[in-house]
Amino acid sequence: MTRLPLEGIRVADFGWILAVPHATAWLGVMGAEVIKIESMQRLDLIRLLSQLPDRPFDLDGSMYFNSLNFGKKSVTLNLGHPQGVALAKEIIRHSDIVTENFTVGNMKKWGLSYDELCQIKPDLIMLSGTPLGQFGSESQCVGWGPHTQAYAGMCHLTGYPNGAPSGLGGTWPDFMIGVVMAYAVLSALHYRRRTGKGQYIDLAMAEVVMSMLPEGFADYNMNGHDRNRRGNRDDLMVPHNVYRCAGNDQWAAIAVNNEDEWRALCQTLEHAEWLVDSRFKDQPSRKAHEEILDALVESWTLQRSPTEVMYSLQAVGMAATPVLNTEGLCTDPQFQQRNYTVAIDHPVTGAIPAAGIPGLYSALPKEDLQYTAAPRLGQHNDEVLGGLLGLSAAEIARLKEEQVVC
Amino acid sequence: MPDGALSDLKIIELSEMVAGPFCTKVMADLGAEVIKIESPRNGDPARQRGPFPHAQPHPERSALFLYLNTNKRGVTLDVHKPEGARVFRDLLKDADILVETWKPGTLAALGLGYENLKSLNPRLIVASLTPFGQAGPYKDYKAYDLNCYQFSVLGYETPFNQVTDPATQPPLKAAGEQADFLAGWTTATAIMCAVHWRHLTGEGQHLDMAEIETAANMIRPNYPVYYGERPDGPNRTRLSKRQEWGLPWVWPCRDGYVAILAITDKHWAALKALLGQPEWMDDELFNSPMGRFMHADVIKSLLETWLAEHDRDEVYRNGQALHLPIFPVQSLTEVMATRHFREREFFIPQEIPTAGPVLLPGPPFKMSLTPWSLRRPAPRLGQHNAEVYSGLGVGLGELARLQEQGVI
Repeated sequence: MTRLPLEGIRVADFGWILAVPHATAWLGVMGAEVIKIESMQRLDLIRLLSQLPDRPFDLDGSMYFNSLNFGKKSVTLNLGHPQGVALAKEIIRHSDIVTENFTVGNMKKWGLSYDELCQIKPDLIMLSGTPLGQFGSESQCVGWGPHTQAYAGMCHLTGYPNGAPSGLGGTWPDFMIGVVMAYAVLSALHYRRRTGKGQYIDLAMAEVVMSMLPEGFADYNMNGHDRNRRGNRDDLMVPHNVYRCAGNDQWAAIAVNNEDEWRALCQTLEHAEWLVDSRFKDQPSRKAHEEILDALVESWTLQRSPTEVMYSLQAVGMAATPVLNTEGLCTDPQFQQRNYTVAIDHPVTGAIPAAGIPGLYSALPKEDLQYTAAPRLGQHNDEVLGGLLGLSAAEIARLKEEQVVC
Repeated sequence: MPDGALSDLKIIELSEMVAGPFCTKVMADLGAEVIKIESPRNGDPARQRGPFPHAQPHPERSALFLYLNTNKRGVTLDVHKPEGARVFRDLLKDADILVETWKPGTLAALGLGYENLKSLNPRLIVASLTPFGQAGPYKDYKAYDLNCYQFSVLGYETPFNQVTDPATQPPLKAAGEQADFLAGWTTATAIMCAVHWRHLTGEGQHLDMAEIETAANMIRPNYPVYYGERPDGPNRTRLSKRQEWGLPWVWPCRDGYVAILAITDKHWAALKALLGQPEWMDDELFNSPMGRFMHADVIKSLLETWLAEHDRDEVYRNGQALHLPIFPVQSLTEVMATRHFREREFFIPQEIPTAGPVLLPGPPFKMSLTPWSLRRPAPRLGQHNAEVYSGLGVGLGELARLQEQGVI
């Protein structure tokens, strides 16, 4: 049996919604024992979304939740009850890592701040992920991932020229930030393996977004240039756009970065005369005539399907790809050959394919990773409270009766 | 110098532009020792990309390059030449990690594939990051950030829930190189998983990272929805996509834009309070999340009418006071002026020749024991050749000869 990178590591996971659950999905798949602490009082809202059609509503039947919480266990603790908090602390005493994305101050309110938890687990690693971080004048603000991109400048820079600012696709940046959270925790764990010391990580979602916009901030701070929206266009590359293709709402993305690619484009589109056209003689000239050039390219793509565009242009060394929709994604041969999706059998929804963790690891075959079904609400109460914490069946029954475990 | 979380790791980077260099940058920022290899002729093409001070191109003044390569040392090396390949092998003997973004098979053809390197250094972790991965029908295809973003459905869903006319609103990319930056973060995370595995086993391994996959990871809910939905389900077109989430995120106000996301009953109650409890919001059509999804268009037009008569910052302040998830859409000028980020010391002055210290993004997360640190600026082309190569036992005479022959 393959050993997994995080075997022996236990995570007390208070995370909910998207970002932290994505981070702890990585940790779980890589072999950590992730104990998701939730409850009926404070339900992970994702359990309410995306039920299979034509089935009765079921808190364990959310395809969305199940595709994000594989590799974890679920314990239901009522943190509004002092005994619930005491049990959470007992789980943390036996854990290496705590993850949470509550509004700033909630963990402290429950007596679960990092300082307090270090009293019971001195080498604890803890990650808090919030929209704007743990301190600073706006840190009390509430918000979800998509808002933070607005506050961080991303929405202002994304959009059609002269159009409104735009939210990004998917639920950007939640899943992206989940990856960064996993990276931060794995780095802290690496440090602990070397020094024996745990630490606290204060992650501000907006700041992660800002770390990915260096050009805009540099341009503003060096040159006073406050950038605006430019659609699919680039600073230098031209043509660089999505082009309508044959069919309904069909598009291809084409980017031309250098003279070789430009020549290849002219030849493939059978417009050798563009090579001697003074409007297109070099990149700055083509940039100055970008509108005209885009229209010329589109008159060619309109006669072809996105895949035909890809085959023709890739054959001559150009970057051209279809713009995929969800159906395209799920049927595309490249994604299929990489076996990116995993179908984990789930007692309520069955084995519906879900995105796995990105990357193929030569020493960690996918079938050996910990892709276990997402937990039913409270599925592991007896296992964790009885097994890990050593409570008797009678005590657990009493805790359930008193609504401490629910 | 404070100890970094990763300061015991030595990384060799054979990569250029954004994705690979950002991966090693975020590791260098946590203390890893990174040696960046550039081609002896022109170096990393990111040196040719702006922004530049006063918009004057210069290979040592690209803010993009300087940002992506802080905390690294830089050497020049032509790995295609046999002597260059020998020096490359020497560099990898005691390295922990190689990050490479060359076309699949290129290194193997030079005798520098993972299998060759593994016999040289069994503890070495090699991360290969390319647009489509190491195998499959598209493995040799070319793709830039635009292609990866658009290929992974992210473009099809941008602008999120704001498409009203697919004919005039094509799928849209995010600002900057978001697919590339994301591939960098994801590869760094995957490398750390391999580092932990090495803690247990003492062995390295090869990671095959595909940028299309690191991007598609962002729309992971689409998979189960696609496989679980009815054939006529809501995911088929960009217009009907709206049925899934109901309302857009970005809304126009009188003097700007706000982002609002009021999904839960609690948020709906806060939104009602913000609007002064108007009667229309009490309609039973809207008394559940599902009802609000179904009747999103009615809500949208009434909410837009109200917002058009109110100022952005007033709506933001009053909304937050009611615990409504709401933020202003800020321009970069406004972000830079935000007191909150100054209090958190997020922006760090970094030296850009002729521009002086320029404020650039600093630590994206704060670690209490091993704080982010800026140890050295990005390397000038070949800046650390003598220092790094003498460490491999290359004498001054040999260094001059290698330089003459274009190896370094």
